[in-house]
Amino acid sequence: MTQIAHERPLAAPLRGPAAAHTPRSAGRRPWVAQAAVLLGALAAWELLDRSGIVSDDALAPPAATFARLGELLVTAEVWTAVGQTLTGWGIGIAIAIALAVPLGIGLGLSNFAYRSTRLVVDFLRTIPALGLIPLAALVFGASRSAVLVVVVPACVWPLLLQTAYGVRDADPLALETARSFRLGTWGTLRRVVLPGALPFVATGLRLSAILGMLLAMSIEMLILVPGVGALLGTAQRNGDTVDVYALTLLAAFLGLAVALAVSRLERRMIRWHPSVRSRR
Amino acid sequence: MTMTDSEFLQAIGLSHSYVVDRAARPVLHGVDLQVRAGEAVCVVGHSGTGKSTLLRCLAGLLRPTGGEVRLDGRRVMEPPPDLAVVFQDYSRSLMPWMSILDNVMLPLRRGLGSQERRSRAQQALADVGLDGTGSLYPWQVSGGMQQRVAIARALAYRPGVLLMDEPFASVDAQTRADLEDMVLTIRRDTGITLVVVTHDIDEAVYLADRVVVLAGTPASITADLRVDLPPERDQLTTKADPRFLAVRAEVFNMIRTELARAGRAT
Ligand SMILES: Nc1ncnc2c1ncn2[C@@H]1O[C@H](COP(=O)(O)OP(=O)(O)OP(=O)(O)O)[C@@H](O)[C@H]1O
Ligand SMILES: [Mg+2]
Repeated sequence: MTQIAHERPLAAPLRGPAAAHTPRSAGRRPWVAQAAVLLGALAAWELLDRSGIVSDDALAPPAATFARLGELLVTAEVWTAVGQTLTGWGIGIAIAIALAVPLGIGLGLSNFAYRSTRLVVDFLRTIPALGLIPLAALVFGASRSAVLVVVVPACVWPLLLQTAYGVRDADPLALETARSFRLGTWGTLRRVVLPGALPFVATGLRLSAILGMLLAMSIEMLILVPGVGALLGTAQRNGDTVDVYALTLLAAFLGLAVALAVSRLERRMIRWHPSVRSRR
Repeated sequence: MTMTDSEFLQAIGLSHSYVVDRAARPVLHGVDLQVRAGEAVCVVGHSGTGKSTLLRCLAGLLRPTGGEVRLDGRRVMEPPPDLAVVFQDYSRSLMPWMSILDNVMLPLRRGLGSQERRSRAQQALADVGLDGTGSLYPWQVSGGMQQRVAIARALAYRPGVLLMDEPFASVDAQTRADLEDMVLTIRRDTGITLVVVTHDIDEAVYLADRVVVLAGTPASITADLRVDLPPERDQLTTKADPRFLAVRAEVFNMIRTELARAGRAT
């Protein structure tokens, strides 16, 4: 609460343009600060390249990188790769949701199930997802199945745990209200428990979506499953420095786009939640 | 089973203990309360005596650790179908993800049809003076308005028995008077049975056929006073009526004595 109040000072409209360069107004308009940081990073990149400290094989100049990215973005090959990556990622997330949300509801509803599976869940989710890659490559080769075998298990955990937390977090008085009006088990679940758990599920979805994108591209890169990751892996194997940098930027933008899209979706899903209300 | 009219809603030897740090903490002990069908009973008592606990037992939401609650001759083990509760903590009992209208429609059965459900909910909102707020969310309106949404929701349900826990605590004096009169009107029109918990002695006497005082630790009913006033009541004339003043003074004294006794005990 206090943090929100701090970020949005009540006196803001009274301030004149003279205040535009104070740190507070930068906080109020984060894009100003963000643009400054971005320009700084680009400048540092350019300086590092010109200084010659790093060899040309290891560092591409920013201008050439962006020019190459521009060229790549008009080829069908890159857009096909983007589509393949997004498809693999999307299928993986969809399967993870279909598995994790119902299971999470079950875990959240039953105290017994929640307590008795806690240890197993905590153990299983510490298995590093990347550790599954050699196994996936061995069994499925460079195919979408290999992507899914890594993405799905990794993305199940955040969704499963968040859903279970959300269900367990239901307000006791809201439940009592449901009981006094005799909404029944199904009515209570559908109209009270699940809507209340949605903010938690949305957080789980955001975590899983970003994690899923990172993993999908990593697998594509390591075992050359067709997609953005494979383009990057191939460029690296060919020693094509500018291509590597351009494709890395592309991969970063793809990850950013996914993160932004999911945050938007999250806010739409839970318009009523205190974390979203103030921004309406 | 023989049953007289006076045994419509009853608490018989009702006791309740909460478990705090593995020890039983008795809150109610041997509460006996009889409410006739169509009667209005107000429960008064100082903060923390167990008024909400009693109400939750009557509502079938809390299984008492001793004694029993009966409604229309049947033992209450779960919330009965013909009963509605307005909770003290009204804001938490409203669903923040539902509009005000949807909140009021929450308890209305699908079987009623969407037209009927909507018009009932709108009527109930109008009854509590909240016309035209249906599309807002509970968190977009004031605490007093939220409290009235909770009341409207219970009214839309059209229960035979309405239990209200300090239902007018967050509204201004004028709205409070209006809501009290609305409750009296609804009572006259529907013959609803009412149990109202309140801190306000004037309100208790104004609304009730009987005022019961809950006091002691653990609490029981220490006084049961009949309000000898005609059913037609008026904010000005009733509150100036000598009979009103007499009951008011009596309740006031009972509570003051109880507080003094509790003060000596500690
Ligand atoms: N769930 C609970 N667990 C343990 N103790 C409780 C619980 N609920 C209430 N109590 C205790 O029981 C006593 C009675 O509580 P209750 O809420 O019934 O009082 P009340 O008369 O409604 O008070 P108020 O007028 O402040 O609403 C209080 O001392 C309270 O601390
Ligand atoms: Mg109370």
